[in-house]
Amino acid sequence: MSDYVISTCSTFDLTKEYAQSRGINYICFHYSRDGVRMEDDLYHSVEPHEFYQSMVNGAEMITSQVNAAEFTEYFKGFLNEGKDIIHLSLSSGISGVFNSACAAAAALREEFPGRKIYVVDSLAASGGLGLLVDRLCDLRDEGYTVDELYEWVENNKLRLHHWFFSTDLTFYIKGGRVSKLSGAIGGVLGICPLLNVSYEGKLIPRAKVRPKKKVIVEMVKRMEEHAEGGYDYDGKVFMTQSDCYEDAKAVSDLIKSKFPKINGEPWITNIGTVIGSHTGPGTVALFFWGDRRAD
Amino acid sequence: MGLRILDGKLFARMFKGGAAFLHSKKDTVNKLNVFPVPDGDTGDNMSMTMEGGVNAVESDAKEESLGKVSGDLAKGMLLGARGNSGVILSQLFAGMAKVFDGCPAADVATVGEALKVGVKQAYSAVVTPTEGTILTVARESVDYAVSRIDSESTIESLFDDLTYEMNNSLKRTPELLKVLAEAGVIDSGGAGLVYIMEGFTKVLGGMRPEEIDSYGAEEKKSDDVDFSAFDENSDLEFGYCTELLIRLQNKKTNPATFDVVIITDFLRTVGDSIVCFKQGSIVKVHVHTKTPEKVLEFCRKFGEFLKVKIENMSLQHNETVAVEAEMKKKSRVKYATVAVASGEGIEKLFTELGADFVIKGGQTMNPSAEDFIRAFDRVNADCIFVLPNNGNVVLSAKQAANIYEGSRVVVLNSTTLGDGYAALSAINYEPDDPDVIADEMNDAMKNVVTCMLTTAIRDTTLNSVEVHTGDYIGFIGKRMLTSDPDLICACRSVLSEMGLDEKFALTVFAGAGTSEEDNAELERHVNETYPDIEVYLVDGGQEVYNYILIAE
Repeated sequence: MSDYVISTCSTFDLTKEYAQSRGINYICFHYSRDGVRMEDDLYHSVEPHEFYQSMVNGAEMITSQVNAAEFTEYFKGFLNEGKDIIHLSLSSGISGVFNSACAAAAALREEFPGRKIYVVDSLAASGGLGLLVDRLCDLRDEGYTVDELYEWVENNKLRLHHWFFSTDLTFYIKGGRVSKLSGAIGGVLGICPLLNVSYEGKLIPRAKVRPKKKVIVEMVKRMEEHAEGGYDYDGKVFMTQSDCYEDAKAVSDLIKSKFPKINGEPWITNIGTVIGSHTGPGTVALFFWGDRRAD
Repeated sequence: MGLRILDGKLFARMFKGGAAFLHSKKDTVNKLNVFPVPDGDTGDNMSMTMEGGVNAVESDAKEESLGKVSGDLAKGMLLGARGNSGVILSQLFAGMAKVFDGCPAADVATVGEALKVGVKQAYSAVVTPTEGTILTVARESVDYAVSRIDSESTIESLFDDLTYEMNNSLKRTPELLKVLAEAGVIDSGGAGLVYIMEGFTKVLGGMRPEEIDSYGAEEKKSDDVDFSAFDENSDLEFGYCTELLIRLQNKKTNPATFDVVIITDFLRTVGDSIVCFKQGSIVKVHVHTKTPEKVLEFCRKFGEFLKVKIENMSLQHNETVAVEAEMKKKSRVKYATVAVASGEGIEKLFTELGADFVIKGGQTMNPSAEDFIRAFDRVNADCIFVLPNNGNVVLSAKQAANIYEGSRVVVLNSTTLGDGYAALSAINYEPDDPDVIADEMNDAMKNVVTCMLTTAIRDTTLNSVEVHTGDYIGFIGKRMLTSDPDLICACRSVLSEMGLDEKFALTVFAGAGTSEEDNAELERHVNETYPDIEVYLVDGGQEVYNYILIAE
C-alpha cells in the first residue's frame, strides 16, 4: 500500500465505481437547482437525462466552489490517517477552486509538518482531469512515490488534450464561459463551435464548423494532429457527453476506425452536474495524450 | 493648327465630355452582357465612376493647373469606382495624374507618357489581367497613338489616333476572349472606354460637354415618379429625403478646421438617417426630415449650396445615398467585419453571424469604393475584414482598402454570397492575429460550392447549354449547368452537379419570389436524394435569384 492518496475534484467526471476500484478520492462540488442545494456526486442523486432536461425546461443552476474550510476538513481526514496527499484541482483557467485548495493546504502544512500535501493545478477538466488522474493511478501502482508523482504530473499535464464541441451554445453564453465567440450563437444554422482547453487551462474557441457531422470529423482531425504517435496512438481515450450519447458514439466510432491501436474502447461517461450546469446538453468532449499544448 | 498644350481647364472639359458621352451611351454598354442574368451593369458602373471624377472638379470653374485638375479627377474616381471596369478606369486616370502632378500643363509627349503610365497602373490594379477587356483596349490604343507622336503631333491628333485604334482594338476583343465570341458581343468595359474617348474628341472638336449629353437622366427619373401618391389630402408621413452639397465659405467659417459634428448634432434634432461628411471644403449632407427648410437655413450658416435635392418620401424615389448609415460612431474595437449582401433575410443573417456592417449591394448594385470607406469608418476597428461576396465587387473593395488609412483592411476573395456565408459562419477572432483569422475564413470558403438559380433574360448558349429567355437557369461561377422551364427541375439538375457526396451541409437562400410549396419541395428532394446532407432553409429575400444553393 502506498502511503499517500490521490485526490481530485468531483468534476473529473468518471464513475463512482471506477473511482472506488482505482482508489481515487474526490471532493464533491455543489450546485443549486432552483435554489435547492445539490451535491455533484457523480450522478447518485440525479439521473443525467433528467438533469439536462430540467435545464432545458428552465431550471436555474448555480454552481459553487468548494471553499477552504471544506478542503481543510476533507484533507484532514487523510492526514489524520498518516497519509500524504496529492490533489489534482480543476483547472485554474475555469474555476477559482485551486486557490481554496492551496489555502487549505498551506494551513494544514503547519498543523501537520510531517506530512506532504501537493496541490496541483491540473489545467484540466471533466474527463481530461479523469484521464490525468487515471494515469497517476497507473504510476502509483508502478510504485511511484508521491514526490515522483508530483514531478511527473507537473511535467506532463500539458500533454493531455481536451477537445470538445457543442451543438447548443445557449448555456455556454448564459454562463459567460464563452464570451468571445463573435456574433453567432451556437445552433444558428447548424454552427458547432469546436473548443479546446489552452495551455493556460482556459476554454478557447478554435473553430466554428457546420454541421454536426463535420465538426465530428474536425474534432477527430485534431486528435490525428496531436495524439502521441499519431495514428499509432496506443493510450487510453476518454470521452464525456451531456445527454447526447449518440453524438459521442459517432465520434468514438470514427476514432476506432482511425486509431486501431488505442488502449481499449474510448470510454464515454457523463459530463457531471457542475460542468454540465455550464455546458447544458449537446456537448461532446474528447480527451487523449499528445504533444504539449502550446497555445 | 491644333493645340500643342493640354491644360487643366481643357482636361476638365474633355473629361466632362467623356463622362457625358458615356452617360448617353450607358444603356448600350449595359447590354453588352455575356451572362444572361441581370447584374451590376458595366455602363452604369463606369458612368458612376466618371461622375465621381466630374463631381470632384465640377464646382471649380476657374482655370487650374493640369496637375491639380487631374489629381482631383483621379481622387473622385478612385472613391466613386464601382465594379471591375470602374476600378480599372479610375486607376487609368490615377496613373495619368501621377505624371501630370505639379504640371500647370503638358505637351503632347507628356500626355503620351501619362497615358502609358495610366495603362500600366490599370494593369497593376488587377491580380491576373485578362486580355480582350478594357485593359487590352487601353493598352493597344495607347501604344499605337504614342508610337505616332512626332514633332507635328497635336493634342487633337493624339486623341484622334487613340480613338481610332480603340475602336479597332474593341472589335478584336472577341478574338481574345472566348466568352465574348460565344455570346456574340464585344467587351463592355472596352466599349465604355471608347465612348469616353469619343467624348474627349468631341470636346476637342469644339463641342461643349453640355451639348453632348444633358445628364437628363436624373430629371427623367423624377418624371417616372407617380405624383398621385401624394395628393391634396395626403399627410406628410415620411418627410423629405434631403441631400445637400455645401461649399464651406471663408466668410462664414474656417473650411479647413470645420467639424461636421456641428451639422450632425443639429440634424439629429430635426431628422434621422443622417449621413454627413466633409471632403476638402465640401460637405455632403443626407437626412430624412419633415422640415428641410430648417436644414437649409442651418447649413447656410457655414457656406453656400452647390446642389440641393429635396424629395417627398411618400413618393418612390431612388435614394442615392445609403440611408442605413447613422453617423453615431462606435467605440474603437480590435476586429470588425464588413460584408456586402442584398436581400433582407441574408442581410439579417449575416449580421447575426457576426458581420459588424452589411453594405447593401452585390449583383445588381455594385458598391463604390466610397461606400466601403464609409463602412470602414462606421465599424471603427484596428483591423477590418471585408467580404465583397461578388466577383465584380472585390476590386472596388481592394481599392477602398488601399485608400483607407488608420485601419488594417483585409479584403477576402469572397466572390459569391456562399463564400461570404461560409466565411462569416467560421469567423473567430480568438487567434488574435489578422493573418490567422483571415486564413481560417479562407479555409472555410475553400470548401464551398455556390450555385445560383435565376431566370434567363435572353437566349444564348453557354457550356453547350441552350438557354431560353424566361427559363430557370442554374450556374456555378460562370459555368452554366441547366436551363429548364420548371424551377424545381432546374434545382434537381444543379444539385446533382454540386458534389454533394463529399459535402455535409446545404444552405438554401430562398429568394423574394419563391413559394412555400417550392421551398418545401426542394427541401424534400434534398432530404430524400441526399440523406447525409443537413439542409438549412433561409428566407433570404434576395432579388434576381430564386435560389442560392450553398454546399459545404
